[in-house]
Amino acid sequence: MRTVRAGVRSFSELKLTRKLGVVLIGALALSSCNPTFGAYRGATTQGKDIFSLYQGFWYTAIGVAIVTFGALLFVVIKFRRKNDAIPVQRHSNVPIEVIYTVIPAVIVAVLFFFTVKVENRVTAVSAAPNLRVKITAFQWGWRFTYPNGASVVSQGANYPQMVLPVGETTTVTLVSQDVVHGFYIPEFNFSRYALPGFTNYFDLNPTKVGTFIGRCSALCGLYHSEMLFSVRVVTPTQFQTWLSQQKAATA
Amino acid sequence: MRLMSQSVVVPEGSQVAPFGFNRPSMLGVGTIVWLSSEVMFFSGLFAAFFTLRANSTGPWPPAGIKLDVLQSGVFTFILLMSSVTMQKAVYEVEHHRRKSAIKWITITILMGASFVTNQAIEWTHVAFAPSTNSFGSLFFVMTGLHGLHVILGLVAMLFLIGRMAGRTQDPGEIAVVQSLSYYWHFVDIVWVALYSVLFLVH
Amino acid sequence: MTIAAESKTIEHGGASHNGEPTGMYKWLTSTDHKVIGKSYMYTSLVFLLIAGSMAMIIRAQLMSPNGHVVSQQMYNELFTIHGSIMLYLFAGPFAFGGFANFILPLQIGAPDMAFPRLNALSYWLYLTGGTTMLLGFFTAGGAAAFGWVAYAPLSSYTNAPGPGPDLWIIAIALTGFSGIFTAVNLVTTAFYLRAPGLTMFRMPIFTWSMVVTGMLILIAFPILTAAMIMLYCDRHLGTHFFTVSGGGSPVMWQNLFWFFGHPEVYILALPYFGMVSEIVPVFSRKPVFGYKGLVFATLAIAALSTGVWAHHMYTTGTVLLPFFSALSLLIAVPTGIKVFTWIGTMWGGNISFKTPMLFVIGFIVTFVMGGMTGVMLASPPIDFAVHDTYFVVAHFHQVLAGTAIFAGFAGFYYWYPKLTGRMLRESLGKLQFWMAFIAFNLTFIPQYLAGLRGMPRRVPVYLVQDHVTFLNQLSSVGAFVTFLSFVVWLVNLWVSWKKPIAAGDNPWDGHTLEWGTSSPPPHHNFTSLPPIRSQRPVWDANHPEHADHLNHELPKKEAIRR
Ligand code: HEA
Ligand code: HEA
Ligand code: CUA
Ligand SMILES: [Cu+2]
Repeated sequence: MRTVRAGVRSFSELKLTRKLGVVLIGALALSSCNPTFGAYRGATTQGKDIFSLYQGFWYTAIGVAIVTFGALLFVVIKFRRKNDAIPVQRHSNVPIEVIYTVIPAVIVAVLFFFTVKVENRVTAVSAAPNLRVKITAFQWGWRFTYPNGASVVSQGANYPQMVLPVGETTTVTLVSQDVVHGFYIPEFNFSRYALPGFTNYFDLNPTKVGTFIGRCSALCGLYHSEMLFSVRVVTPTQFQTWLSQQKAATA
Repeated sequence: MRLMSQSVVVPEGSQVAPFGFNRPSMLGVGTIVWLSSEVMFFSGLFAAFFTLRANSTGPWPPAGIKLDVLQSGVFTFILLMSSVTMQKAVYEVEHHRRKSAIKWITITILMGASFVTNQAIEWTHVAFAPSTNSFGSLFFVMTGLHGLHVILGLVAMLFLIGRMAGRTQDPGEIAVVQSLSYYWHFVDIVWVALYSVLFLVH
Repeated sequence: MTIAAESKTIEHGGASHNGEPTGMYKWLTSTDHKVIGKSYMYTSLVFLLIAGSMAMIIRAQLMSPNGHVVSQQMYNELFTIHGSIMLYLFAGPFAFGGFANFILPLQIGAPDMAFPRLNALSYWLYLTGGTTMLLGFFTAGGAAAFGWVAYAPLSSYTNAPGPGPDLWIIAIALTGFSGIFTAVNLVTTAFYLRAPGLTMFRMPIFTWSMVVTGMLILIAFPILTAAMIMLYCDRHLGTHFFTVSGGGSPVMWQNLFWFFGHPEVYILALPYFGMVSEIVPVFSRKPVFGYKGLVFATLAIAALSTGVWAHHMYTTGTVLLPFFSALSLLIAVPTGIKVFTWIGTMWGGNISFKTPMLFVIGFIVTFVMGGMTGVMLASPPIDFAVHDTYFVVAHFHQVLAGTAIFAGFAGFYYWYPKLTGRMLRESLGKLQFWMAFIAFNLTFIPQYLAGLRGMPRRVPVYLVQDHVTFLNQLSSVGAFVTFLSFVVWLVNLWVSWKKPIAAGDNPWDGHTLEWGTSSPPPHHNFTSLPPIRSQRPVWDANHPEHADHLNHELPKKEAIRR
C-alpha cells in the first residue's frame, strides 16, 4: 500500500519537473553537437529547411521516448511480482489522465506549427525563377528540357544528367508520360510524384556544387529500380556554357 | 441497449419472445448495420462521380450525352411508390394478415421489375457506351450496381413469398419482412440520389 | 439473399446446433463461433507462414546489391503478394476473424454469434479469397506485381496484363465481403447478445475494440470494393475511371484506395490494442487504468483515421497538406492515451512476466518506436525526404508486426489455454520472445537508416554507392533469425500437443467472462454465468474482498487514497 502511494506521487512529480528538465537539457546538449540522425543535411535551401525540421522531430521523439520508455522501465522493474499480494485496485486517476492527454496534444500542436512553417517555405514556387526545367518521366527514364530547347534523355546505358546552377532558383515542371513515377534526389531531401495528367511545380535552390544521385521512388513496373539519373550542380557561368553546348548537341 | 440485451440471452431450444413493432429484431439490427456499409459503398461511387466531374475540362456531361429525364422520372416515381407498397406489406404481416402481405409484396416485385426492365431498355438505347468517356463509365457502373441491388432485392422477395406461401405459421417472418423492407427503402433512396445526380443536376 | 436465409437464427435465438458432428465433417460444416474462430486463426497463421517465407526470399535477394535469387518480375510479385497476404489474409483475419470470433461471444456471455451461418460464410469467403490470391502465381503472366496499393495506371490492363492481377482483384473483393460480414456479425452480437447486467460500459476493452474495428470496416471496406469494381471495369470494359484519356483521373485511385487504406491500418491495429488491454490488467492484477479514457481513445482513433488518408499522398502535390498533417499528428494523442493507460495499469501492480506479458512489453516498445517515426512521416516536409523509401518500410513493419506479431502472439499465448485446454511451455515461449524481439528489431531498425541514405522501396537491386549493403545484410540476418523464432513456437505447439499440461478453467487468474467457463468452453459456452456487476465479473467472483463494485460502495476511501 505504502509503496503504491509513493509511486503515484513520484509519478506526477517526475512528470512535471524532473523528466521535462531532462528532456530540455538533453535536447540542448544534442542540438549543440548537431547530429544528423542518419539523414542528409540537404544540398538545397529547401532540403536544409527539411533537415532542421527533421532534427526538431528527433529531439521531440527522444524526449517522448525518455518519458515513455523511462516510465515503462520503471514499472517493469519496480512492480515485478515478488509475492502473491493483491495490489490496490485503482481504476482511474483523472488528473494524471488529463496530463497525459494534454501534454501530447501540446507537443503535437508545436510540431504542427513548425511543420506548416517549413512546408510553406518548401512548397513555395517563385514567380520569377532564374531557370525553368521541364522534367518528363517515362518507363523507364527521364527527359530534362531546358527553356532554350536543349534536352537530355537517357542514352543507351548512360543515365541522364540534369545540370543546375548553384545559388539560383530553378522551377521544375514535372509530368509523367505513362504511369506514376517519383522524382527523388536523396541528398536534396526531396521527392515529388510525376503524375500522368497532372503537372507538378516546385523550386530547387541548390547550395552545393557537386553530383548527386537521383532516382525514381514510386513503383513503376519492371525496371523501376533502374530508373536512375544524376544531378550535377555547377556555378552559373559553367551552367551557361553547358546550356549552349547542350543546345548545339540537341539541334 | 440494456433492454434489448436483457431479453435475448436465450436458453437452448427456446424461442425469442415475439417482439413489438417498434423494437428492431436481431435480424433488423444486423440489416441496418450492414446497410451502413452499403451507404459507404455508394458514397464511394458518388465520390468518384464528383471527382471526375471536377476533373473534366469540357462541359459536363460531355457533348453527345443525352438522357431521357422524363421516362426515367416516371420509373423513379414507380420505384419510390414500391417503397410504399413494401411498407404496406410490413404493416399487414405485423398484423398477421399473411395473405394480404404476400399480395403487397407481389405488387412490390412487379413495380421493381418494371423499373429494372426500363433500366435495361434505357441501357440499349442511349447513344453512348461505358468506354465513350468518364460520364459514360460512371453512368453504366452506377446504374448497373444499383440495378444489381434491385435485382437482389427482387430475388430475396421471391424467396420470401415462397417461404410465406408454404407455411401456416412462421414466427420469424415478421423480422424477415421488416428487414427486407429496410433494404428496399435503402435501394429506393439511393436511386433518388442517383437520379438527381445523373439525370437532373449532372 | 442472406436476409432471407438468416431467418433460422431468429427462430432459435442466435444459436442452433443440435446433434454435434465430429471430426473433419465438424470443421467443414460447423457454425459454432469457436470452431470458426479457430479455423480463422490457423488459416491465417498458415498465410503468415506463406507471406513470411516470401519475406525471406525478399531478404535473401537484398543480401547483396545485385542479388540473383529471383528475377525482377518475380521480386515485384513477391512483395506485392507478401504485403497483400500480411494485411488482408493474416493480420486482419488473425485478430478480427480468429480472436474476435472465439473470444467476443464468450466475453459478453453470449451462446454464439448473432448470425452463425453468416459467420461460416465469412470464413469460406476468406479461404476462397486467399486461395484465389495465391493462384495468381500459377498463371502464365504471374501474380499481381503492382504493390499492395495497385496504383493506377500501373494496374491498368496495358501495364499489368494477364489473369494474375484479376485474381488479385477478385481475392481482395472476396476477403472484403468476408470482413464486412464478420463486422456486421460482431457489431450485432455486441449490441444484441450481451448477458444481463453487461452494459455497454462494462464491456471489456477487447470487445469495445472489436466493435469499433467493425465500424471502421463498415466504413472503409465498401470504398475498397467500389474502387476494385471500377478498376476491374477499367481493365475489361474499357471504362475511364483511372485513365487520363476519356477524362479519368489516376490520382482518384489513390484517394479511394487510401480512404480505405489508412483506416485499414487501424483496422489491423485496434484489435491488437484490445488484446493488450486485456492482458496487461490480468498480469498486473489490477483493473485496466482509465477505462473510459481507453474507450474514448479507441473511438477517437477510429474517427480521426477516416480523415487522414492523404498523408500517403503528400508527394503527389494534389492534397491539402496542413489539413492532413494536422489530423495525422493528432492521432498521436489518443494512441498515446492507450500507451499511457497500459503503463498506468502496470503502475502499482504486481506484475508477473509470463510469456504473454513479455510479448506485450515487446509490442509496446516496438510500437512506440514505429509510432514516433509515423509522427515524422505525418509532417509533409519530412515525408518529402523519405517517402517511398525504406524509412517508410521500417515504420510500418514496426507498427504492423509490432501489433500483429508481438501483440498477436501475446494474445495467442494468453488465450491458447482457453482455446485448447492445454498450456504452452513457458521456457520455449520466453525463448521465442527474446529471439523474435531481438531479431525483429535487427531486421527493421537498419532499414530506417537505409531509407535515410536514399534506398527506395520495391527495388530488387540497389547501388553500391549508397552504402546500404551492410545495413541490408544486418536486416536479412535479422529476418532469418525471426524465422527461426517461429520454429521455436512450432516446437512449443508440438510439445504441448504431445505432452499436454491441463490448463484448468482460469490459469492466469483472468478477469473477464471467458475465464468463467471451462477450457475449452462447452457447446453453448456457459452452463451458468456469474453475476455481472462490473467490467470484471470473474475477478469479482474469485476475489470478493477486492471486487470492483466494493469500490463504488466506499467512495470515501477511494477519495482518501487519491
Ligand atoms: C498498424 C498499422 C499502422 C499504424 C498503427 C500506423 C500509425 C501511424 N502512421 Fe503509418 N503506415 C502504415 C501502418 C500503420 N501506421 C503502413 C502499412 C504504411 C505504408 C503503406 C504503404 O505505403 O505501403 C504507413 C505509412 C504511413 C505514412 C505515409 C508514409 C509515406 O508513404 O510516405 C504516414 C504519414 O503520415 C504514416 C503516419 C502514421 C502516424 C502518424 C501514425 C500514428 O498513429 C502513430 C501514433 C503513435 C505514437 C505517436 C506512439 C505512441 C504515443 C505516445 C507515446 C504519445 C506521445 C507522442 C507524441 C506527443 C508524438 N504512416
Ligand atoms: C502485418 C504485416 C507484415 C508483416 C508481419 C511483415 C513481416 C515481414 N516483412 Fe513485410 N511488408 C508488409 C507487411 C508485413 N510484413 C507490407 C504491407 C509491405 C509492402 C508491400 C508493398 O510494397 O506493396 C511489406 C514489404 C516488405 C519489404 C519491402 C519490399 C520492398 O519494398 O522491396 C520487406 C523487405 O525487407 C519486408 C520484409 C519483412 C520481413 C523480413 C518480415 C518478417 O517479420 C516476417 C516474419 C514471419 C515469418 C518468418 C513467418 C513465420 C512462420 C510461421 C508463423 C509458421 C506458421 C506455421 C504454421 C501454422 C504451420 N516486407
Ligand atoms: Cu519510375 Cu519507378
Ligand atoms: Cu496512413
